Amino acid sequence: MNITMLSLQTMNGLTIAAIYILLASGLTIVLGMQGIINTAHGFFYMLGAYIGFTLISRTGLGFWLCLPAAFAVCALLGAGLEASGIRTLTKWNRGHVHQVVLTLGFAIVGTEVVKFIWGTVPQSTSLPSILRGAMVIGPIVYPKYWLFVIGFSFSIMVALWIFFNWTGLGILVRSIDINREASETLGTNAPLLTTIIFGLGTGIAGVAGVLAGPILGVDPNMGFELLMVLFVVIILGGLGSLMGTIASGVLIGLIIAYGTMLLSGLAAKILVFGVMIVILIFRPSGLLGRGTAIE
Amino acid sequence: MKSATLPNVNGQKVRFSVYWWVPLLAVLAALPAVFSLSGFADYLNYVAVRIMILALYAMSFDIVYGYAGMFSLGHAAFLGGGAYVAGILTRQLGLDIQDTLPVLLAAALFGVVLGWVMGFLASRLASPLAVLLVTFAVAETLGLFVMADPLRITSADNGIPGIPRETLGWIIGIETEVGFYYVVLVILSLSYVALRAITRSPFGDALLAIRENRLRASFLGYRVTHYQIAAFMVSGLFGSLAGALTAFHEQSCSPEIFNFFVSGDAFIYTVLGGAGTLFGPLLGTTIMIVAQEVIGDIFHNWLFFLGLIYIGLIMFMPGGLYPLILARFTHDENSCMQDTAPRS
Repeated sequence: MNITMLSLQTMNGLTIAAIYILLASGLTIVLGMQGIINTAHGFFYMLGAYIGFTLISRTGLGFWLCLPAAFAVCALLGAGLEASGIRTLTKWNRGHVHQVVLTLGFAIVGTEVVKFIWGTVPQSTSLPSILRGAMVIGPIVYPKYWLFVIGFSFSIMVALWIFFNWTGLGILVRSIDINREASETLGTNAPLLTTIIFGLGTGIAGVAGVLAGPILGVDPNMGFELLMVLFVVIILGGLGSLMGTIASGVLIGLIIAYGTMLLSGLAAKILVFGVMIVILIFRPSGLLGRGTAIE
Repeated sequence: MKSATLPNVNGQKVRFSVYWWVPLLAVLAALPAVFSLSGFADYLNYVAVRIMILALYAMSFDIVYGYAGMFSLGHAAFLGGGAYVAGILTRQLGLDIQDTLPVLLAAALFGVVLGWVMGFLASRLASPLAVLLVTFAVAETLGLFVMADPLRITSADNGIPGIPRETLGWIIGIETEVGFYYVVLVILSLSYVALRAITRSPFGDALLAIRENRLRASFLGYRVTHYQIAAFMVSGLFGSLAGALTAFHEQSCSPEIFNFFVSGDAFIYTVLGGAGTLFGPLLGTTIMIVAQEVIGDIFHNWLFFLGLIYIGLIMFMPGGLYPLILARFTHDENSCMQDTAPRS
């Protein structure tokens, strides 16, 4: 194994990590606020990928218009799911497991609808001309688009970090996260903000889907497959911690990239689940989390 | 904290004036004869056996979910593990085992061991979501191991075809679908009786107490983690038994059995019928398999309806059907078991 191979796999790992991080950030903010794991997250990712595929291949709309379009559709659908279903269950005083099952049902129905509209054949999205081709970085030649994905994911994470730390709305959201009742007493519209954050999370998932389309392909099962890895990323990262999500996303991305290179794709996956079990047992608060990752 | 009222699922207040199981067993015993009158007896027998096996699987899930109050999203590990034990013992190791009885026992033993592993992992975690994830990860890991096949015994994604099904206990012939039907019926009945005894024992009461309030149960001196592990072991025993029966029924096994939808099925069967009751999973499985056969046949799109059932059940009927029926027939306010499903 030479240095070229190693750095190539490292870059691959980072690109995959960029997509994981984008997706996991949406999951982790919902988990932090509502204490539920949105199992429909993978569905929104898949829906975003199909929206991107359709807009690019069927219409003349550019790649750049797809990103906001996928975000809008997924965010609205997600907000609708939260406002109609999850909020009702919260009102009825049901446990979190019921809410998880609800999102699971939604994901199953949604996936079937997508299969009905687009069929089950895997598709691939084409790239905008500006992002085609490759670049030379040190010893390796790397596709421009993959570098773009890393950069884009990074900027979204910076934007989220600014939102949660420096804007009034973001700070209100965090106050709900810390103590919902106290925050509501002080006049925060917690249900509305919860819906908005849920929508934000699913919208980001949609954007991640558009970005992943040209790299990982577009097929109806892509969501469920990725969801399992995302669970590992958010648990490893710790509750609602964006920094933790970035760190664990990079770690898991690299484990998968190196594992695939040295062993096999399946072995890499087993390794990831092994990591998840060990962490849940010995450090339920995650590697960088302060509180418990899941309560 | 939720109120700690124990529902009457142990039958202390719900009593039947008739032995309802006598006519039920009679009907079940007569079914193959009825089926043989129709033109597609084989198919009907096949579906009936499938219902009974999966009902056993759902009941095993109910021990963990309905009684011990832990949401396992990895129950397919037991079903798949049992099926693969059957497949490996009969086909892959060259042991030349002609009878199904030792294989069934081995699968049950495997289930107990796997149940210990899963219970050990799950009982260390207080949060229901963490339990959900870790059980899910166990099933997924097992499925991936079967796919990766490092020991060269699971034949990767080809699955194991041609699992023989000749005799049970070297005497009873179960090659025919009807013979197998009666064997499964007897196993299911015995399992039901065993599980009923287990859930009505002090052990079952302790599980309910832990389900309702883990902290109070521990204050009363119950070793919560021990009970949770034991619940998983009991569950694993019957779950893997069902798995081995599945392998003998299909006469093959494939890695799809570890699929996450298989784990989800256990949940839906149980919750539709009524979690926290033993009859509920039987009822739920029957309804769901029949619906799957009918709807799948007409619309070829079963998953869509499955998703709708998920949503409808969890929103509007988390207590399940059987408690509603019971409440209707007993006219006893105390026996109304709405919301016997764990609220976690």
